[in-house]
Amino acid sequence: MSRVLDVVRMHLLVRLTFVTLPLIILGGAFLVTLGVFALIPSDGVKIAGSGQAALWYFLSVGAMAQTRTFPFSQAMSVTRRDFLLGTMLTGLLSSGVLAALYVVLGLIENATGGWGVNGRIYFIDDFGGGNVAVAFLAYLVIAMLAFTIGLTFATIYKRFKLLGLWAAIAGVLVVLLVTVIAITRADAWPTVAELVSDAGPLGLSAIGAVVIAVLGFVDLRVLRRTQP
Amino acid sequence: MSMVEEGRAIFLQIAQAVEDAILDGSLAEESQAPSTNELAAFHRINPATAGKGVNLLVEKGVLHKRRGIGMFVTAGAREALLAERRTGFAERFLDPLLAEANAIGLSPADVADLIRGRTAPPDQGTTP
Amino acid sequence: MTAAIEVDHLTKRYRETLALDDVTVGFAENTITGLLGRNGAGKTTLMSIITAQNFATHGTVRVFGREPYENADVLSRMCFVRESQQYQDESKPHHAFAAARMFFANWDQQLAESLVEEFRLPMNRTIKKLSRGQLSAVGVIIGIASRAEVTFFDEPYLGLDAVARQVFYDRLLADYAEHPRTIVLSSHLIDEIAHLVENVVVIDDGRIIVDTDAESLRGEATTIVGQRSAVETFTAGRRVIHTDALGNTLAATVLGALTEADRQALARAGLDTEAVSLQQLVVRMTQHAHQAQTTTTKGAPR
Repeated sequence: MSRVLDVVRMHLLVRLTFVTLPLIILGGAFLVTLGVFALIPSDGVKIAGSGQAALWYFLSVGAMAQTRTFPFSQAMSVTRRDFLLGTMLTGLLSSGVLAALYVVLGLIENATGGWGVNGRIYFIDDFGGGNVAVAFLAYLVIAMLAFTIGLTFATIYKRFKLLGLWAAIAGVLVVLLVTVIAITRADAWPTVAELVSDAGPLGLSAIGAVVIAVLGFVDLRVLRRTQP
Repeated sequence: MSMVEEGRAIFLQIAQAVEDAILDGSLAEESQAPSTNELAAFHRINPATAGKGVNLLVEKGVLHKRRGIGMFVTAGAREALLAERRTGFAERFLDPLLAEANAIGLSPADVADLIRGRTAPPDQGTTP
Repeated sequence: MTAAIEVDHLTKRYRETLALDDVTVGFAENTITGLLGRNGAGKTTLMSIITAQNFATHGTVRVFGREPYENADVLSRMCFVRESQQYQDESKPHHAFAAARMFFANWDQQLAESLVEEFRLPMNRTIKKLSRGQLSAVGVIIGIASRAEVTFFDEPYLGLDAVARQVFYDRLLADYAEHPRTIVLSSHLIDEIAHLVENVVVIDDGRIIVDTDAESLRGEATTIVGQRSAVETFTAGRRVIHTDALGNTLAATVLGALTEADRQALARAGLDTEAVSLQQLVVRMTQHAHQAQTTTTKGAPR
């Protein structure tokens, strides 16, 4: 276990990937959005998706954790299993910090009447249904999901090169496409919408957690035959 | 000597270097001999190889081990080494000398004359 | 002597090429072994499979009697920094050393710091911007200061100047004398490390062609120089691994230590002998192995 924690510390030694860049993106996106809001003369609700930039950036955080640090971890005589567990734990920690920041920013957003300009960047109410803890969990799962997707596809790339990466992406797209076609043919979209709204943020987070676990398992299987 | 020469077992060269030091008096009898690690560091060789050289000297009785302290030069080692070197002198130095003399047409008598000529002033021909 | 590392019938195939061809070799505990061979002979592949960074096609590796793959107990006792080692993005030497300090239980921080000074390694420059020699120094420092029970050095001298290389050899030897451990030093600068190593393993085209102690290899070959017919008479029936001719003069390198009778026979025949350095010997044996292989495969149907 201590070597897993050491992997976490190793990831955090160089703060750029996990700490500095996410904060810069979060802060930068916030400031730009606020500036744009100020330029819009309307008094209505202003909605921006830019707050999610840092969440999507976690795709590349996950990818970098693999491509940059895995070869080094091999020189440090770390097992692939310990590397993956430590890396996922680092992603979880980092996602947790990010989620907490979103919640705090969301609370400030609500308290200041949308930054004084009726803006919506962090959607804490939509994500949590009014519950701060649920909003935190939802943000955590989204960031961690992005991280794990980035990590897993980077491992697939490392193991099977570009061809393997394309095959994996194509495979995922085919599965999604088949699902969409199946739902459309069955005229089941209203049912799906109902299911999603019934599941709520909590239920969707649970589904996200399952997907994270499955991806983590896939990653470990691939990583076990990957060379640095 | 500080650099090891090619083609001859290094441990033999190490043993000889220690013997040379005993012969020229820089390593006195009953005094402590350099350790294996010191020899290895000085000659820049593997400690195991230096150890083999030291062991050879222990087998010959030139060095002996004092438990917990280290290696020491055995009393009488210098005399024994001198005797050994004198025995081998003719073979090591005279035989090649005479072979070369023969190849260039010098008789043993010519060689003896040459030696007498070179050594007339007694302090010449010795290296510092 | 017990073997710290046992490699048994190890084969590694990359598509068309055989990087390792049925390699069986052991590395004795608490010795320095020189792993010698040309570029691409299979040195890095062998070391990376032993440390479970790479995978064998066939065969097994045991370190301290156990398989290293995904075995934290065994892996944590080994250190292998590759010649082409990648470091974390934007990391500086001090980051790499901080990580090594966490993962190697015997890490000696003071030793690392004094090595940094001796190699004049800039600690606050990103590793990406280091020169080739400075990059090698990072790996060398991790290798020495980790004091791992089994340590591999993969062509550690690349880009290091003569002074820095001497620092490496001297510090490695000094620390090894104080803290004996199993060291495998891969190199093709054979003469530079000839005196450092206790054992020699020569790998050529994925095959082990020499596996012996360095001392017995010294004096194992002699070059006989002189009149052609006299040389040929003396070398008849001996294993000649190389010949050079100049007019009527022949230089033949023969395997096998010379006896006192041999030396007397040489003196009588007026033949000279020349010592063969480890490097020359390895070069000759490698060439010899190639020739032997081409002659045997020529006649044999594929």
